[in-house]
Amino acid sequence: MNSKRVDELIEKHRTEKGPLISILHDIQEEEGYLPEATLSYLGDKLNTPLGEIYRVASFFSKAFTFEKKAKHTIRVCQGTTCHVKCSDHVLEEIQEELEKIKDDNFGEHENFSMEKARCLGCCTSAPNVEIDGEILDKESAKKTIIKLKGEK
Amino acid sequence: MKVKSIRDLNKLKSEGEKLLRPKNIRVQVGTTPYALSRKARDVIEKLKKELDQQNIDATVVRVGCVGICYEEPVVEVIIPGKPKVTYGSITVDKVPSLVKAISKGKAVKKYALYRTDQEEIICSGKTFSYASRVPSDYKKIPLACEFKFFQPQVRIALRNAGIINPDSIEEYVARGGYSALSKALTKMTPEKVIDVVIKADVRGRGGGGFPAGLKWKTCREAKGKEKYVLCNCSEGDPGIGMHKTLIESDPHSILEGLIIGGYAIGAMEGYIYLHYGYASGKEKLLKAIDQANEYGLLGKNILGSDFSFSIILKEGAGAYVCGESTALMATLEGRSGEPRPKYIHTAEKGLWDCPTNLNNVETWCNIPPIISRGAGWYGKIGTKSSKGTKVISLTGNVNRSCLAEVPMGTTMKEVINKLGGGIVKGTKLKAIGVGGPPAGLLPASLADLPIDFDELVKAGSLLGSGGMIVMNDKTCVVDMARFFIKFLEEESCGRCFPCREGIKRMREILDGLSAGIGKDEDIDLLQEIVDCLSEASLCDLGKSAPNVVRSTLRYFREEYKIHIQQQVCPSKRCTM
Amino acid sequence: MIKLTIDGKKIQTGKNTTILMAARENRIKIPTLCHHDGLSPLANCRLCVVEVTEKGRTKVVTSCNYKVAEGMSVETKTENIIAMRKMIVELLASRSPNVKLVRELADEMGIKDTRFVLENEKCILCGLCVHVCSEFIGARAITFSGHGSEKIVSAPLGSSAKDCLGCGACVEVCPAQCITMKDIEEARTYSSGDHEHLGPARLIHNWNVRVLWKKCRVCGNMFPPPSPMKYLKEEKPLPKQFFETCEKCQ
Repeated sequence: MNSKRVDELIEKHRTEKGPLISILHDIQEEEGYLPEATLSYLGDKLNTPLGEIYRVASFFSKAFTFEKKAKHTIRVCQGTTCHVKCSDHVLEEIQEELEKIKDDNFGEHENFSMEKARCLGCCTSAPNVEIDGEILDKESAKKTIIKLKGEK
Repeated sequence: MKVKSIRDLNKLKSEGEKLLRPKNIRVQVGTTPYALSRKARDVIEKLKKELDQQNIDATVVRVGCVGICYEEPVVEVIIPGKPKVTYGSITVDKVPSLVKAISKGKAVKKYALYRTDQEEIICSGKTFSYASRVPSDYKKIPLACEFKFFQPQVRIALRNAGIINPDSIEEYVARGGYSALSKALTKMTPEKVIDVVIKADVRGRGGGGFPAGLKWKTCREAKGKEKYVLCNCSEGDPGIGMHKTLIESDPHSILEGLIIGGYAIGAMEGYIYLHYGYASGKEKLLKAIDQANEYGLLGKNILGSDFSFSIILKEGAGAYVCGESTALMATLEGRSGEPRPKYIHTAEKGLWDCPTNLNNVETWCNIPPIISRGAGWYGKIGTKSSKGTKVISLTGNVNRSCLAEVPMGTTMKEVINKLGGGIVKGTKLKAIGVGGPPAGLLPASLADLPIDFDELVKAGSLLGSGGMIVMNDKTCVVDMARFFIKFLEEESCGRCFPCREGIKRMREILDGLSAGIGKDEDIDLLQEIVDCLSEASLCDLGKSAPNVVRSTLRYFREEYKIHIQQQVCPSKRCTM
Repeated sequence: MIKLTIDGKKIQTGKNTTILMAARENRIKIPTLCHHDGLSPLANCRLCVVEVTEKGRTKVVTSCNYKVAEGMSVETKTENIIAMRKMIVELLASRSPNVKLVRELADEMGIKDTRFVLENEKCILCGLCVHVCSEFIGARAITFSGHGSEKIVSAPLGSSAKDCLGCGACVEVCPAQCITMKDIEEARTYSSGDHEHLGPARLIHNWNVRVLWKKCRVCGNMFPPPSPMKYLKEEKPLPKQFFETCEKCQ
């Protein structure tokens, strides 16, 4: 992220008290991760040591990453209701599905990142999988992965 | 338009009534995340298209959620002069026949769940009537009060859920909204407001059940020029959807509660702490805040009074420990969400070291009706030590997952059977988890326990936020304990030694048990860790973390022993 | 003055005193790991738990940050308290079996073997290094990273702590003695094969830092980063330009 954009984001949150997390959210959203150089620049501008920024960003490991995320995000819900309905098995199956893609030698595996979600808030239909923001059941999720794999 | 007086508010109210009971037809569709995952969006599109093609003068409105999740997508139809009819499980292919019936002014009995001739407006106690006369074809549809789902319910926090358009402040006002604020600002001193909250004996719905009024009083009396009121809207517990329903169905009720709280405590600013990455909730709340600002219900000199107040929405960053008040405040300040010792209460030294009062969404939603109708009215609902109602999100191995609000004192069994339609066929109730990971599990034999703060604590559990997860006999309690402990291990902030190291070691022992390599001594060792953590940990997460192990050791010790001695999992859930 | 009892002994102490301070004034021993007299209490290690009875209610609190009050009664060695401390030390001795102080504590409490899987972490995560760097030095050069059982102390982003002044306060306060520091005569850069000579420097390995000696603002001589420990021990704030001035000219 260039310094001009960082300045703009700081300006956007100028009236906010304790704006660090809000600014980090914006950077994460626009860049897909938190680049070190951006954080250094931000620290200088906010007069906050890099150590403090890193402490916040690394503490909230679900919201912030230091490496770029893959194109498609698969989130397998591991909430309590989903667990009661064997979401751990769903997780394994989705992992297998991704392994298969790897074996296909498409090299597309890197396009997917898989996360365990805490709760997708959709417990009625547990167990749930979310791909790029859409809540699906296990079978539709597998189909979607195959479909997305085909896309260049 | 700025609302400066009760007259202005009444003007807004009549506009809202026109929207709720319009001259044309009103079709409303629930659009919470679960409804959307069941293709509610397609149903809306199809409804619009069909209504258009048939040249029917109708408005399609997106509403929140009534709570009948198992019947989503839910569609409600209001034809002028006729009862409101609620239809369940409406799919795209059912839309044409529904629209055909609408065009003839009729109801479709086979899709209908219930009808509403009139509704009680909770904030005023008055009735809102849809139809004075019920046509004969409508009479065959049961009334809402005859519908099983509503029978055990009293809906105070959910008073508007699924009924109003959450984006419309007019509709909120038409249901008695902001009348409590107007009453507080024009007829009550801040002390009087606190007095009502104390007399109503409202206990915080976020977990501990601390009396809200006392907390408000301490905060009001604390020294400090700047004070803050906060609303915790972060759904931390996995497996519950109630905050989402409240936020997406009725955001103004949260704001009104918070504004009243601000007035009572003497705060100029209120913060709403929202779960991160929750776009639909953020949108609803921001819109509601904008509207309230536009109408002068937020900002300077609210309703023409001397009281000025603003609400700021801040997103968290996804840490469960931020349900802990001091961690939540650290996050709002832009710091990492580590709890700090609470020997000085946050009511005296909270956000930016100023006196701060934090309550959760459900608590705030309860405030306006209490102010409107008084402590006496509220006190009649619930039990002696737990007044009012509790929103329950019911999920797990029940036939019908749903979200409902029952009076305190309702037994868990009633909730499971009447609201949830009983346990999934062919299986038996084994355990109930009530208040999320820190609340532990209760055995089926205690299903007769009432939903009540103190009763649940006595049984070794917590009411918590009220996410009730029902588990049948295919559930292994060792596996569940391991699941919760793993969750808490990942969510511990890692600051204090007992919580960080102790939870990890409990997880290791439970891993061993479920892998069939447990030892006889493990049970005693678990108990020792439990005893240490529950008193020596720094914050309530650490202190309550061992509850799940404690409660399962108390009620299901045999099952632990079988895992150790016979190296089998009776429910065949653990892979050994 | 405030009157209270600790372990049955009637004592008097000043207002604003913590239970831990009051106990130590009276030679009552309470173990601690994350406490430092010159710094505000962290209350992370929880070893200093005691039972306090006030207004008829008994509760477990950490003595390092709980203030004394009139009529309070404190018990520091009940069965319950000893059991908690033993469990904490056992947990710690499994995490860091090779830290001297932890071993001593375990010996003192009669813990011979731990019942958990042994690890070999050098750092016990008491937080004192981060705390001294932030609260006393004001550099905030090092920090916690992550949360839960993954938490560690590190330089920002795991790279080099660029705000480190090389003062070594972190080394001094570390009860586990796991931070290593060394002065070298000749620091060099290794860019493009040729190396530039940079002169003497201080290395702190844990934070990947190499702090070059500075020129004293008074005498102009090169000097190593001065130690702030004297001030910390005397609980006095650091003088202005402390890190720009050599020890002789301070």
